[in-house]
Order: sequence, then C-alpha cells, then structure tokens
Amino acid sequence: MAGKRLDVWSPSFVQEGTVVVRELGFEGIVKPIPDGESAILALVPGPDGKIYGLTHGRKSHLFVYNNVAVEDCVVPVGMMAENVSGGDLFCTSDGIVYGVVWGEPAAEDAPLPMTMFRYEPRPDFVSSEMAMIFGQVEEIPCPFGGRRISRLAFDCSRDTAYGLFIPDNVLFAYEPDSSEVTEFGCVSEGVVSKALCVADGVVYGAGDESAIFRMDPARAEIEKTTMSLPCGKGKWYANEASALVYDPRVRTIYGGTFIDGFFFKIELARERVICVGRPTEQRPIRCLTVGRDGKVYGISGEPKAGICHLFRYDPETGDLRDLGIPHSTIVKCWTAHEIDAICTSRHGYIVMGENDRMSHLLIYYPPVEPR
Amino acid sequence: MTALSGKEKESVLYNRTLIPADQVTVKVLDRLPRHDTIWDMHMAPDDTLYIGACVEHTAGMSAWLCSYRHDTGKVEYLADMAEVTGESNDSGHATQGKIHFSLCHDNDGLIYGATHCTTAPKGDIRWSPFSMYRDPIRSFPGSYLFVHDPKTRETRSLGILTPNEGIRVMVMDRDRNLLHITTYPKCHYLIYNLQKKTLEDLGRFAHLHQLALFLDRKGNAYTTDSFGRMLRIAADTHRIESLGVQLPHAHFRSGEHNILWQVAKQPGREVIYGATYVRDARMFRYDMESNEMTDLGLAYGRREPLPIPEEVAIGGMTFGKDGSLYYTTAEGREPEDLPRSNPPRPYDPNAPQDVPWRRKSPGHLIRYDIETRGAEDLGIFGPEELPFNGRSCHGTTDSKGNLYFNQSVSTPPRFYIYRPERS
Repeated sequence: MAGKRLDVWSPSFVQEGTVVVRELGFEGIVKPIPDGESAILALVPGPDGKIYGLTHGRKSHLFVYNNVAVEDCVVPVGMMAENVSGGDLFCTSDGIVYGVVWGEPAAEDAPLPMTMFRYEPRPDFVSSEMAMIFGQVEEIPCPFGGRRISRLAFDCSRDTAYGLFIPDNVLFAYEPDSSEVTEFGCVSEGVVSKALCVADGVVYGAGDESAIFRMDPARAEIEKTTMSLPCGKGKWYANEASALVYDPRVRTIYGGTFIDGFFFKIELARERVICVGRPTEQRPIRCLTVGRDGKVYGISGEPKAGICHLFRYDPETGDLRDLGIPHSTIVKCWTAHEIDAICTSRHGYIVMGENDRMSHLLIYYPPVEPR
Repeated sequence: MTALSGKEKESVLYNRTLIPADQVTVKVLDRLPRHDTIWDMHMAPDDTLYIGACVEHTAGMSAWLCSYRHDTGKVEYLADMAEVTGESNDSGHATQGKIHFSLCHDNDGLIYGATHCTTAPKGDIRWSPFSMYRDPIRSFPGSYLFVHDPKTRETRSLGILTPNEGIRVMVMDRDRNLLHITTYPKCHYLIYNLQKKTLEDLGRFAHLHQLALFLDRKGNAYTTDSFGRMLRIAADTHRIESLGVQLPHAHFRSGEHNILWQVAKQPGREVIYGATYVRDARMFRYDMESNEMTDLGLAYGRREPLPIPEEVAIGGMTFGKDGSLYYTTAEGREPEDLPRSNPPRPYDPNAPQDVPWRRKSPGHLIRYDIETRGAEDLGIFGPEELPFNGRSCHGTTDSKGNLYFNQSVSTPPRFYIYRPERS
C-alpha cells in the first residue's frame, strides 16, 4: 500500500524546483531559536545578500540567514523583547537593520508595549571553525508613542519607512537617520488595507471601498486614484489588500486580497488594475515577492484553518500556477503550514519564513528552464 | 567466531510451533465484511472490550463502534459513525471512516472516542489529506467527539472538535476531565476540557506522524517529536517542553521518524514500557519521575537491525496479570526473501490485504520478563487457518488475565485473544 499512498501525498507538495528547510540555528553549532519563539514575522534582504528575519512569541529574536557564503546557515543574533505579537523589519541602503516589535497592552486604553531596535552587522562573518562575531543589537527610542502601526513599506531610495497608525488610518513616514516621524493625514475612513507599497518613490495603498490611493512624498499629499482593488461582487466594503509588491522593471504592483484571495496587478503606466485570479481555493494571499526571473511568487492559505501553498505568476505567459505545499526532506522532513514572510535572495532563491509554533526557513530553488 | 547466516539465526531463535489452540481465540467482525482495519481497542472496567472498526482502503464508508465480552463470546455492533455524526457516506466529503487511537472511558463508565480521516469520498479511489484540506467538496469535515453510554446503549455526537483535521490520538485525564489530543495532518496538540467545553490549541509539536501519548499521575502528558525526543505537556502550564532524552534507535539513524508507538504503563509505577515505530522497532523503558530512558533492544531474536529496514513491528504491548509484558512481532525477512520488485498495482478495494511474501513472516507472541529482561517466544500466534500476521497496534488485558490483540489490517477486521493459562 506504500506506493499508493505516495501517489496521494507527494503531488500535494512543491515538485517543480526544490525546497530545502533550515532550522533557525546553525546546524550542530548554534542552538536553534526555541519552539514558541520562532514564528517568523518578517524577512528582509540586506545589500550584502544576507537575509534578516524577525520572530515573535514568548520572545522575539532577530536572526540572519547567510545564503551567499560557503556557510549556508541561520544564526540568531539577538533577543528583542518578550511576549511579542507583532512587528516588522527593514534594512537601509547602507545595510543597517531596523526593527520594531510590540505586544498586547495591559489594558484597553494603555499604550502598546513597543520596542525599537537597530542592528549594524559586522563585516567579518561566521565560520563554523572560527569565532562568530556579529555586532550588537541595540535598543533605540521608539518613535511611535505606543500607537499601533501597520506593516511597514520601505523606500531604499530615500531610506524611509512608511506605515499607517491604526485605527486612525494616518499615513506616516519614519526616517531612521533622524528618528523623525512625519504624519500625512488620514488616508480614508472605514476599512483600510494594512499593506502599503512604494513604487518609484510614491506610496500606494487602498482605502475604504477598495479605492487605491497614492502619496508622493515630494508633494506630501494623499491622492485618490480611479483604480480599486478587485473583489467579489458586493464585498467591496470589507475588502483589503493583504500583500503588495512592486516590480520596477515593468512598473507594476502585484497584490493579493484578503476576502477573496484574488491575485491582481496594478499597471502604473496605464493606471489600470487587472484581476489575474485565485491561485488556490484558500484566502488570503499572505505574502508576495518578485523573483529575479520577473515571475511573482506568493503564498496563499487561510491562517490556522488551512495549509499554505506556494504559487507562481508568470507575467509573460499569464500563467498563474499553484506550485503546492512547501515540503522538504533536506535537512529534515518538514511540511510548512503557515507562511507569512517571503523574499528573494540575491541569487534568485525564494526564501519563505514559517509563522508557526515550530518555525523554519524554507528555501525554494526554482527549476532550471530548458532552452 | 563464525557468524551465523540469517537462516541459522532464525532457526535457533524463533519458536515455530503454533501456540496451542485452546489458548487462542480469533474473533472476526463478520457483519462488517468490507471494513479493513482496527486501530484502537479499549478495555472498559467492566471487561467490555470496545473496538473501532475502520475503513482504510474502500471509499465512501464509515467506521463502526463495536464491543465484545469474552464471557458471552458475543460481538455487538453499537454505532455507525455516519449515523452518529450525521455525515452521510455519500456527502461527497471524505467520510467518517476511522476511529484512531482515541477510545477511552471516564469515571462514570462512559466511553469516549473520536472519528478520524483518510477514508476517500464515495466514488473516489484515493484521498489526499493535504491537497483536499480546504477543498469545498472533498475535504474532511472534521473529527467528531462522540460518547457511548453502556447503560442506555446510546452513542451520540458531541460535535466537531477539529475542523478539517483528524484526531489521531486521544487520551483522557479522568481526574481533571481533560482530553489530550493530537491531530493529523497538522500535528497540533490540543487539550479539551469536558466540563467547560473549551478547546486549547497548544500548537504544532512535530512534523506529521504521532501515534501515542501517555499521562503520569500528576496529569503531565508525554509524547515525542519527529525525532523521538520526549516532550512533556505540563499539567499546570499546558506548555510543551522538550525533556532532552530520545527514544533509542539504531546507531546509523538520527532518530528521525523513530516515534512513540507502543505504550504500556507498568502497574503501580510511573514507568512506561514501550516500542518505537515499525522500522527497526526497539523496546524501551522510560521512567517518568527520573526522566531516564533505557534501550531494551530489538523485538526478539536479533541483536542488529536487518540490513534493509523493514517492518518488524513490536505491537499490542500490554501487561498481563502475571506482571509480564506481552507483545506481538513478526520474524522479518532476510534480504534474499525480499521481493525483487514491488510493481505498482491498480487499486482494488477487494484485493486481499495479505500479500504472499508477508506470509513468510509469521506473527509471534512474546512474553517479556521485566525483572530479568528475558523474552520468551510463545510461538506462532493464531489458528493455522486464520494466522495472525504479526502486525498489531493495540493490546489490552481484562481483569481475568485474558490478553487481546488486534490485527491492524484484515478484511473483515479481526482480533485475537490469548489465555495465558491452559484450559
């Protein structure tokens, strides 16, 4: 019966390309980040090719994944705070990593317990045979005054992070160099997407009734566009973008929605939105990244209630394909169920971060296309 | 020293005589001719054996709760899970086809159990727990908790505990009215409070497979992760903690997939005798108070695992009234006995489950003395016309000392009874 069973199981998993799994520790050298503290909130690539990750849970940790040197390893570099439920990470053009984490307030009207930190990587990196010198994670004053914030969108050209204060829906910019926060006003009343995206220096988001807005920092003005997010008929009042990512090569923002799990693209040159479709029967689209091949990779899956699938969109052919559930037997047998962070490495590998009690990095190596 | 060949070793070690017929009874659930598996059996305090008759290989069927009393020799067919849950077998969904390791009783004598997945929807020839997880038509609706009252003979559903997810293992903490649960395929650990009707998800604790858990008298629960590392779920905090000890395994293995499989609590002690899952299965002793793990070696007859790992399972582990530990095993095959190829066969729900090469590996019943650590092969188990195939996943003992062992896979389902004393 074993043969029959395999026929049922393996087609569920990613088979086009290869997935390998990495524990959040340097195998055999450094103790991994413990279960219950390893759920990955964010992944960002640094200019040196390393990938930085932020976890949450009983404790929050910063780790670095070195996918570019001979040591293909994950090393935890510091603990941020305890009892963390949310946070985000960004990396400036000179390679300094900033992060913010928060927990739940003690009372309804109490300020959000927030910690902001800064990490400057040391140039000499890890070797399994030598001392590991990483530099220090330092706590810095938090500029958000205990107000809840959305996910951050980072503009490398200006070294500025953008976000929304919640529930006021006030768009802000944070400049890490000066620690200055600038508020641009309320983007919209009602349901506002927590995902933002920076395209050619302009911030894009979606406000009430799925309407897409933009804010050009040069003019500091929030402008409503004629475009709106796609959604099932009549669901517009509850619709939100769940993930947005920009590909400057084709001047297109790719996105996903919460309520329907639609994958869409916003062609900025033509000011139009095209709904591509649903990659799986699950919703929402949880995270997106543009690969070095111009293809878009994303995760679809219902948080806690479903099982995540990796999907791929090829803008050239229009093919939207469910690649399957990320699963690997290298270096151990593991199937990921919950993924909320994804990014593209310098060499074009897709790095996914699990958001579960026991979390790992999963690295997807797309297949080599025949000529 | 001259090494013995495999054949010589076998002839020296195994007792190839049949256990005397007057000590063995086989009971066939012949009113369920297309059911094919029994995963769980549970001995209630009144010596009624409860049995979950399951369907692993035929689509669109549901599990049955059955019972057996040795004094009457009668099998009763108590409840069809399709009726109990209200999930008809032609709903299009994966059916309520299994009752996995979940049967247990409370202090009032009520029998609890849970339904489980992997039986295909009617009309399909297979079912994927992953691909179909959230499929609007073919998904498994979820595992139902059910309760059977032996006095009224009524079995009723208490609702779905785990939407889309199967319940693979469920053990009751009778002192605290808690059900400790592990799920499939997402491998989460849950605690259900029967009094408050609250379900607490402690999160994922392993990759996929988990087949056993046990409790100490303080209410702490124990199981293993995917590498056979012992985990304890603390009774007071409900936190999963790793205990730093691992189940024994062959030196060339890392412990991956070597998970907890058989568990028999030594009467009166906080000590578990158990066995690891079927490949190169090893026995062990685990002291819950000192967190000490002792490797007791392979099932029987060999000091080294076979060169090609195969299923030489240790199963049906249970303590007898004489204080000995009983378990079942199969002889295993040397490389020359292995089939040269195993070509894929078209799926045939009516195909016999016994494959010819397995018959070369008869099932044995072993008595193990925990003081001397000596094992005695009591012989080939089962009557000649209906032999036991060596694969049992559950053993239990009644108050008179009769020992019960299921045969995991057989159509129709069957179980064996062994009387230690000859009549």
